[in-house]
Amino acid sequence: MKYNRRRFVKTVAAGVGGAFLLPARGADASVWRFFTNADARLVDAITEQIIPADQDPGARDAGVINFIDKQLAGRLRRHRQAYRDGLIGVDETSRAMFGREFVVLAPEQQTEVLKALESGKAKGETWRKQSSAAFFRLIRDHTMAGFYGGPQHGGNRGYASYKMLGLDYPQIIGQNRYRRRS
Amino acid sequence: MMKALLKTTMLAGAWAVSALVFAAEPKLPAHSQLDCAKCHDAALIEKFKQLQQQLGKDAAPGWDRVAEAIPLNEAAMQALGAKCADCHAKQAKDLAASGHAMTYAQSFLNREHNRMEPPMDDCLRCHAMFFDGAAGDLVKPLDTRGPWRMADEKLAGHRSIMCVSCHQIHPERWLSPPSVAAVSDRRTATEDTPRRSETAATEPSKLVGGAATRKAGFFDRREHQFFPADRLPHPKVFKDGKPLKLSDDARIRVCYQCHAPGAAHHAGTSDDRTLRGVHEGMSCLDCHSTHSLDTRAACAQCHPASSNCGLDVTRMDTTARAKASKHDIHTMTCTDCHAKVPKARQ
Ligand code: HEC
Ligand code: HEC
Ligand code: HEC
Ligand code: HEC
Ligand code: HEC
Ligand code: HEC
Ligand code: HEC
Ligand code: HEC
Repeated sequence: MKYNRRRFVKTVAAGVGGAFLLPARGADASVWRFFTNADARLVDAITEQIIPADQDPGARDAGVINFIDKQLAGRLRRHRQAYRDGLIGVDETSRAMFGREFVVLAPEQQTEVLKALESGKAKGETWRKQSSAAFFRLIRDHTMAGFYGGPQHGGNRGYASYKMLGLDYPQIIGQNRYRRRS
Repeated sequence: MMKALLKTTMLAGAWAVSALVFAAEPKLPAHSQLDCAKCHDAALIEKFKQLQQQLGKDAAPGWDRVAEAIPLNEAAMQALGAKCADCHAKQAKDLAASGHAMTYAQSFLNREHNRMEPPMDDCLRCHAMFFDGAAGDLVKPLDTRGPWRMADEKLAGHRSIMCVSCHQIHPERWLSPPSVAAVSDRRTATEDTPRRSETAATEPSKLVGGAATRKAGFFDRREHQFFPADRLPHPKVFKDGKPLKLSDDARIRVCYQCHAPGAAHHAGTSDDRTLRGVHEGMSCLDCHSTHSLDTRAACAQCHPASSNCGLDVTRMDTTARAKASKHDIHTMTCTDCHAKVPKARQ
């Protein structure tokens, strides 16, 4: 039930006649490709801690969550299990440290949790499967890629980071004209 | 039961727009009162309805999810582009009579051009942005020797530039990925994490053109995405190392995606037409009509009021009078015609 959304999309995309094969939308049906809505909120909160908004947009403004979700349904699908486990682990650590789930912690508490992950000493059963440091590196790298990469990959919404860096996007560049005029 | 319902609405012709929209209106305001069926065939509307059912009306799933599930190929874009003429006959007629009515054959079978530079994938972003294949599927051979022919004769008459190259119907904010805020705000939000609404997409343009620039933009083949003019970069062009004054009319950003200088943005390189000399700082659209590109009516807006020579500018020896003139209207200076600049009328 948890990760069944994509099969769903496939069916629609295939355009199976006019048949309405689709089950009714449940109250908690995910609007994401890979994540559940709860997963997405957690990943969104983690990425916003990694690149917080200041005078410039942060990971949330740049839609990094959409990048990670899209890539886990595609090119980065090999990391799916790492995310499934890792997200459970983050909340285990969060509860162990502050008694509550990560998304409801105060920003400073969230920072503490991420520091614990990064150090590799985070508490939680799940971190036996992969080290918390490895998961932290993974999600940090994906956050960077989503924030600084091309919007066509799902992140960098509104060309947030390009604007911040003053990059032209899409670039103005002529063809390699043989005729030079000036 | 759903199926029966669907059939009935299909038979009824088109969907009532109100029944179809997501949380907000997914179309250009000017088109928001139109039936989907004015532009789309029944199959697309049906697919959309299924998708909407699946994603949920209020899910604000982002138009990129829609585009993933219902991709549009070149044939679909051509069909859509052709629909515009139903209601915008003047623009369609103007475009058809302009240089922008160039075809694939005119773009890729030009011997002079191909001898100097072989056809390649990069040409497609300006000359065939919706084409489904690569350059080799369009023209053969990809070299400077030729003789060149269309890979498929049926492609010869396809238009290089269509209405949908510069116009988008479903506004850009619908292309944005979903935001967690949009999703979780609908749920009982207990968290104290800061929530920000989507600001990026609604940021008004600071440049002249403002909201009006939402009307035009550019479909970028490299990103496979449409960019409204106020999201395109504003050109910076240099002459002898110094920046030229450029018009701040945001609509020129559309023109500069194709009429672009080379990578270093030197004036006059590649296909650049940046105004310098007597007309420095002007917008392309100060002289060229948007769709016909015609310039005949333009001169009278400013001349003879701001004329130095005391002559009818349209009769002077410039490219405005005859293409063969040495005095390019885009670049000429006083010293192109005067050995010594006479004292300007002050
Ligand atoms: C005035 C013409 C017009 C009307 C009316 C119109 N569309 Fe579109 N539609 C377009 C064009 C043109 C495109 C191509 C992308 C774009 O311009 O946004 C498109 C694209 C789409 C796509 C494909 C998305 C993609 O990018 O792959 C869907 C789905 C769609 N429209 C649904 C609808 C629905 C539903 C309605 C009615 C509520 C509707 N359209 C009304 C012209 C129209
Ligand atoms: C069924 C009729 C119809 C079709 C088909 C149609 N339009 Fe329009 N369009 C209108 C109307 C009505 C308006 C608003 C009145 C006006 O400005 O003429 C409008 C306005 C516009 C505007 C000006 C927008 C503004 O905010 O003033 C643009 C640009 C435009 N249409 C482009 C297109 C393009 C591109 C297509 C083809 C994909 C298209 N239209 C298809 C009816 C249509
Ligand atoms: C950055 C956009 C861009 C790219 C890339 C591009 N063109 Fe063009 N092309 C133009 C523009 C703009 C014109 C009009 C030039 C003018 O008159 O100033 C043009 C004109 C032409 C013409 C008309 C005749 C002429 O020489 O002016 C041909 C033929 C042509 N291009 C073929 C090609 C081919 C083949 C390629 C790839 C090798 C290519 N173009 C790449 C923008 C582009
Ligand atoms: C080369 C780019 C380009 C192409 C191709 C193009 N347009 Fe436009 N169009 C523009 C620009 C630029 C504007 C001015 C937008 C503004 O004023 O903000 C515009 C404005 C419009 C308007 C508003 C009224 C007007 O005439 O200014 C309509 C309607 C319109 N276009 C329809 C069309 C239709 C229909 C087609 C295809 C037959 C088309 N356009 C092709 C660039 C283009
Ligand atoms: C999609 C790429 C593209 C865009 C966008 C574009 N042009 Fe062009 N333009 C071309 C090409 C290609 C030609 C060459 C056509 C030919 O040689 O037949 C051309 C030709 C022209 C011409 C010469 C027409 C003629 O009859 O010789 C003018 C003037 C012009 N463009 C102005 C503009 C203006 C103004 C804009 C912005 C509103 C603009 N163009 C946007 C590609 C583009
Ligand atoms: C001062 C008025 C004026 C401005 C501003 C202007 N043009 Fe032109 N343009 C002309 C005239 C006049 C012609 C030649 C006659 C014609 O084709 O209408 C021309 C011709 C062209 C041609 C066809 C090639 C040629 O030289 O015959 C292209 C391409 C072109 N202009 C692009 C542009 C672009 C792009 C801009 C903005 C960067 C621009 N023009 C701004 C007046 C202007
Ligand atoms: C938006 C206003 C504007 C438009 C439109 C315009 N011009 Fe000009 N033009 C000027 C100004 C201002 C000058 C004087 C520049 C200076 O004093 O340095 C000028 C100078 C000239 C000159 C130099 C001779 C003189 O008497 O100053 C010629 C020739 C000329 N324009 C031709 C044209 C033609 C032909 C057109 C129509 C295709 C045109 N212009 C459209 C503003 C314009
Ligand atoms: C396209 C060519 C051309 C350009 C560009 C041009 N002129 Fe002229 N100008 C002429 C011609 C032709 C005459 C009339 C014959 C003459 O007196 O040389 C003239 C006459 C004049 C006169 C009157 C001279 C007299 O003795 O009565 C002045 C002043 C003048 N121009 C100033 C300028 C200035 C300033 C510029 C630049 C803003 C300029 N011109 C650009 C062609 C040009």
